[in-house]
Amino acid sequence: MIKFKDISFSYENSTLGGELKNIDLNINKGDFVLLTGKSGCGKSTLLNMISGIIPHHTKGKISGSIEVDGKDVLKTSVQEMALSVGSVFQNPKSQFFHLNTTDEIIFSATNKGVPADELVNRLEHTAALFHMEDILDRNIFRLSGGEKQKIACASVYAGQPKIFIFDEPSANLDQFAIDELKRIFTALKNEGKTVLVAEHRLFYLMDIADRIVYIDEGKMKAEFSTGEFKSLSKESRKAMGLRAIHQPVINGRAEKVSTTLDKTSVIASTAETGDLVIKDLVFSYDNEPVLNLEHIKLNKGNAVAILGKNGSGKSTLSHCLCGLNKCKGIFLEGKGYSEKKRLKSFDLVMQDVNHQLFTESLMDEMRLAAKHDTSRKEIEEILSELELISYKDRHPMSLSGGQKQRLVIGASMASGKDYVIFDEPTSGLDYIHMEAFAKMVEKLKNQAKLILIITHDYELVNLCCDAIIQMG
Amino acid sequence: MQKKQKLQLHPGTKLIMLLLLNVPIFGITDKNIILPFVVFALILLILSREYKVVFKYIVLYAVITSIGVFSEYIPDIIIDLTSTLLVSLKMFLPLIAYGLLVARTTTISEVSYMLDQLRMPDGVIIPFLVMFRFFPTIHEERKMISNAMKLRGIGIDFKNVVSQPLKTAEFIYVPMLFTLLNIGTELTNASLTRGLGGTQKRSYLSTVHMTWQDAVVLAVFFAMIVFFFYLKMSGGIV
Repeated sequence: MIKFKDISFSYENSTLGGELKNIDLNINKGDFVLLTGKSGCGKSTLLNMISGIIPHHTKGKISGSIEVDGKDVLKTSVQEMALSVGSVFQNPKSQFFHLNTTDEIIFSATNKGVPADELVNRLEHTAALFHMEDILDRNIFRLSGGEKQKIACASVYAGQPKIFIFDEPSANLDQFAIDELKRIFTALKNEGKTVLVAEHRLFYLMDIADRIVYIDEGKMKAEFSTGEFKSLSKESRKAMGLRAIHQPVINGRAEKVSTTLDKTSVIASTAETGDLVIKDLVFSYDNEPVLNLEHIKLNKGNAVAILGKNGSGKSTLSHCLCGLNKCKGIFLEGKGYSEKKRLKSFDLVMQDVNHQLFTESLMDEMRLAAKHDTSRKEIEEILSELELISYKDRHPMSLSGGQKQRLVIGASMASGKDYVIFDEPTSGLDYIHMEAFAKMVEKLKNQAKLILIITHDYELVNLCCDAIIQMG
Repeated sequence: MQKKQKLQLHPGTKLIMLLLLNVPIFGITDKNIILPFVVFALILLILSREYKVVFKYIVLYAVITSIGVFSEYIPDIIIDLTSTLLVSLKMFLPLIAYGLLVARTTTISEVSYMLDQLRMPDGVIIPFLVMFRFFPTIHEERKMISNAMKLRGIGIDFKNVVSQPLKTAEFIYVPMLFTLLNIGTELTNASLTRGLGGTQKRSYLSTVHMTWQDAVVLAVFFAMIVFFFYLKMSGGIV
């Protein structure tokens, strides 16, 4: 079904990796193949060559040949390839074209000219298979990330391609949505579709994948059967930069923070007042209560994970704490803080850090956030600590995703704010980068900051969190 | 699930009104004449069950028009600085009402169907649809960027807008440009791999046609235009 013959590829103008070297890969009809490897190893490049985005839309230097469903990809347009191949990408918010869910589900099918009565059938069949009757004819912007990703899968499915490719589909999903995704994959497999999934999170694919292909620095380093892969030692798996193969559970270290008054909270231990106390915090959108927290006590020098399903109020809580949402009941060091004062005490590292890079160089970015009395030397020290000093005069937008995130963390350090919230900092990161992030959190804890991490990543929680708040 | 009855107009009807509205706006100098047109648009929005939008629009309208009424109590310097902006905003207020009607009650597939019916080439249709898709995206991204700005103490508030207007504008546009660029690329990839712009003729689940509702709405709209031009001709207004 898919034949890569000695394929090499390098991007026209990129220093951020992702090139491929001498790939030979054969995938038969009905195969379910998992591609894995470190961030930037070339997994996505490989998938984009199957759909034809490379070389037709993203340019670069290419040699070798690829045949997909009997078509020569290098000579066939992306739209022509779309008749055989359906693609689901990582970012839920940028892969829907319509604003209405029903229109989006049949989008792919309408582009292929499927007649109206057949469209009705496909819509009904797809909605039933994906259990999404309740989200038909809705505004996509109002859906959660998990629901958006489901719409993307449904849209591709309704186009009825023979081959499905998924590029880190679980990156923004909670456990519940991952279970749904797993169910969809099983259904595709049972229908005899050919499926390729590039992923960091491996555990949910272990019962489905037939083969696992490990890519490193653009080369196909190893190929395993699922059995062989499962028998790899934990150490060799980590050395390969790979995540857990069993569904991670929260281990004993991080304990659940009580959100009610009668139980004593764990990390606040004997202290009567915590550094951060939340008391009777109620918040509603359009008269619908989103948050209702009776009592939470947290102390500096700790990292606290905020867990819960998409839509359980995690982001709302973070906005309340930061002072972006108006609410009462937040006390810092014993005093009630207004929105204005909270904005000056809290920092938020957003999931898409592109929203918070405003200037033309790393130095300017740090200067913008820093307190007025911060010296140039202090700023440079922070940049060295984050291994960013060699880029200090570069434009922030020329950095890789991980470097941008470190820059925003650096800006937060320079601002001297003691309360830092991270919104899903490790979604789409491999083991090595996730571990590096955990080390950074340890550093921040040593600076006597209180770190709050909104996350679905239990491996991260186990590495660096001292407590958890379970929402919803 | 039984759906609540609401007004559903053909996208063509809405676009015709939006275009024709320019005739009274630029043809009649007495701006109060425009008010009936605005009320008409608001009635259509209410019938389409877009109550929130109507409410926000009325607030905006009241603020902008009341500044003119209270002008003698406002320092001259502020009037001088803002008058051009206010006059043009006031002029475009009716257009905003009809623009909202189009934006809030028209789906991308309706527009796509209409343009296909008019036998427009894909080179015209697709950019037009992408534009439609991008308006709400800009709105969403702007919210997030403005949050990030507040956290850096460079938020869009009175102090920053007055003391460093250019810098504040730059702080919005730099992240906006880059995030939209990213979204644009990712959206293009997603759309192409879903076959947009391929050689097959696009199909549609439901087709939209002009109905008696469109006929009534257009008749009222034309009647208003004719009536006000009759008044102008007979010297009743200028």
